[in-house]
Amino acid sequence: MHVWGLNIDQLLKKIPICISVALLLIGVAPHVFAAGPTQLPNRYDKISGSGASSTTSHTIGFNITNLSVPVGSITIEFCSNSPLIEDPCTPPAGFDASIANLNSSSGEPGFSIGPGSTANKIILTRPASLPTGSPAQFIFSNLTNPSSTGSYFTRLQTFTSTDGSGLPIQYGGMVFAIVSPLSITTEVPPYLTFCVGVTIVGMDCSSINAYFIDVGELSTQAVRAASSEFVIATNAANGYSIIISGATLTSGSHVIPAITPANTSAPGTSQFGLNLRANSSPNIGNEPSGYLAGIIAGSYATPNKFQFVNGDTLVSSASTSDYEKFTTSYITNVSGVQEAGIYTTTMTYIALANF
Amino acid sequence: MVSINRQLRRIQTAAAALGLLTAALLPSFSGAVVYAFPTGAQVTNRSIKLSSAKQSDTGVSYDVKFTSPSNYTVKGIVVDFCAGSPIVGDATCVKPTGFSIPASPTITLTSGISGGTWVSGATAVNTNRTLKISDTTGNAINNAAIEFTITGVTNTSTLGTFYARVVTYNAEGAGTDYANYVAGTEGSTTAVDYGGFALSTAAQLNVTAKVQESLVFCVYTTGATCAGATGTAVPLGDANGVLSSYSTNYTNTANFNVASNAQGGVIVNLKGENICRVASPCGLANTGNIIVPSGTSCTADVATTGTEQFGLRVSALGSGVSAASGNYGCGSGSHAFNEVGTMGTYGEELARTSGAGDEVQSTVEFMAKAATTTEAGIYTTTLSMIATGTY
Repeated sequence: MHVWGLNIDQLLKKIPICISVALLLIGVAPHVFAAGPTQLPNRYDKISGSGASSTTSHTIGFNITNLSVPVGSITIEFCSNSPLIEDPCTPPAGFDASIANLNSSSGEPGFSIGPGSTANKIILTRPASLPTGSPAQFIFSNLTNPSSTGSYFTRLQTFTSTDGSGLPIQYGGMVFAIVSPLSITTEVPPYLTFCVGVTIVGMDCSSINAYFIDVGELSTQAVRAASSEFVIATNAANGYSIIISGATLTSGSHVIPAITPANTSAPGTSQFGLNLRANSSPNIGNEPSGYLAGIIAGSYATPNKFQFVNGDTLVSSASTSDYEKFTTSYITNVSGVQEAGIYTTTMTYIALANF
Repeated sequence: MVSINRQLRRIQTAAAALGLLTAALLPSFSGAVVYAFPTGAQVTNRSIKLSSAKQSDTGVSYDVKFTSPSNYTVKGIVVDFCAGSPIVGDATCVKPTGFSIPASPTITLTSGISGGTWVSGATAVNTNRTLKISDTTGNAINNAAIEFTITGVTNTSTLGTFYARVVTYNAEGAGTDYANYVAGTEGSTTAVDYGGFALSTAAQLNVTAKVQESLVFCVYTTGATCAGATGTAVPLGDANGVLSSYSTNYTNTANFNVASNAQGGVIVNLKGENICRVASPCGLANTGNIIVPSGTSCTADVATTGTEQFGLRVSALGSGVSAASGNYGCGSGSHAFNEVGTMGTYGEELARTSGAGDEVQSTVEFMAKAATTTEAGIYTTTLSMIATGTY
């Protein structure tokens, strides 16, 4: 139907008009900076010591990935509160990098510590040039750790300027920790094991069951011989000494003379002596056995030669000694004019450990 | 007369309604004009979904969707984008600033139309303002949903609302309404269904969050976490800290915890020298001053009285922590101490994490044994642990 020239039917078909609304999407921009600095990957701050207030070295490494912008300076800032470059930096208490040395560098050449460096900020500077892209590493020495345990932060920034001013090109944060060291302690007590007996089985002092030696009837025709043993072990750092104490064979006022200096056995001659070797004339004694740290004194160290002097050192060592055993060989001869009697003596061995 | 009055009332009602709607929605709409108009009905369930609402964004996909209510064979579809009006029949259609459909647009058909040249014949006209797709055979539809996607579109650079108009056709050849499409002269012969859309660009929200680098590291003898950790003394020996038996390997433990978001993991180094009874010298050559280490790598403990030993091992590993292979990752009954490594500038690796992780506890076991020849004295050493994270 037409009214006033209008096609009403068509006009009515246009009513109502519903409008569809396109879905709106909200975009999310993941970056802090719209078109600004990017992070330095593979970054670390490796310290040589984690003790509070100790002097340490820092090896700082990172990769520069923006190779299109010249780099003239790198700032390394140490903070106690945050690794984020947007945040204010609180210098760590006790930390000091003011006398740090740049010992070596690799990857990005030409840098040196520049003016403007402070107790908690090192500024590396060089004439601005394009980065190489190789992994960068800088080794600093002579830094003082913070005075308290905890985590601390290192901030890196690269700049085109040579003094760390202006907008950073790349940045990154790291963390290092100050911790208390462990104190490992132990004690090794001093000890001395020493025993003397007629015979000792192996090195077992508990095996001793006799302390009396009867050499029998003395003769002008043949020597009379006997032996005893002693075992020693000690952890004395300066070793030990074994001292013989006693008198030669006596019977009242009658004395069988002690041999001195060392001499061979002489039947028919009144003599008393000893040594610490295996002998063939007479056939008595054994060689030392065991750890063998001890050295036999010269006067008592020759087979078939014997001596006795009260108070002599028989054996000594200069260091610790595990178990070792010595055999003392005694010889007695008498002349035809030796007075009759029962001759006796008591031998005392003294072990002295030198700690 | 009655019929005319009814028509007039309809006109008045319609005009009022039209006026209200126009006032509410389309303040720019100006009056009724005489024009050729599609013969069908308004499309329903219509929408155009954008893959990005960012101004001037490129490569944007527009998913056009509507239900064509008429019963016909659809052979042509026009989608016209206008800055100021969605009204089919409005001759004014200004291309939104910066908006552009590719000259040979890529079309992906989803439903309602298929085959033929719908895709291959797609064109953009009116300086890349208007999309035209067609097929000579067409698809028979009856109140059917039609959906297709235009890709590679450049959004308008204007922030805010802009519009689109859709018109369907049952013929597409030369001389047809489809071929002669002009905004405001959509056709009344072969133009069938129609409808308007409103779209909008929107400001982008910048959502930022700062996650700072972190490292939690502690060394202790008592406790379970760094928060409550105490103690740094590790005595070795009997109840009195004495190596009283020369055939016993005495042990004791300490712990270290590490937590970090370092994606490259954390390496824990051990630094310090031999256990020693004097201040110096305490090197390996000074056997009279030290308890000689077990070995530079894992070495079995011995019980012979003539052998002294000192060493350590990582006896318990937290999740994600591994011991330095061959050096301190010893099994029970074996220990090691490599003084050449531990006395280096940065010490020697004791353990490491595989990547970022929450706080976990690991345990280090220390061992000492005296020999009968171990010099008497009080032996000590101070061992430090150093953690380095790679971010």
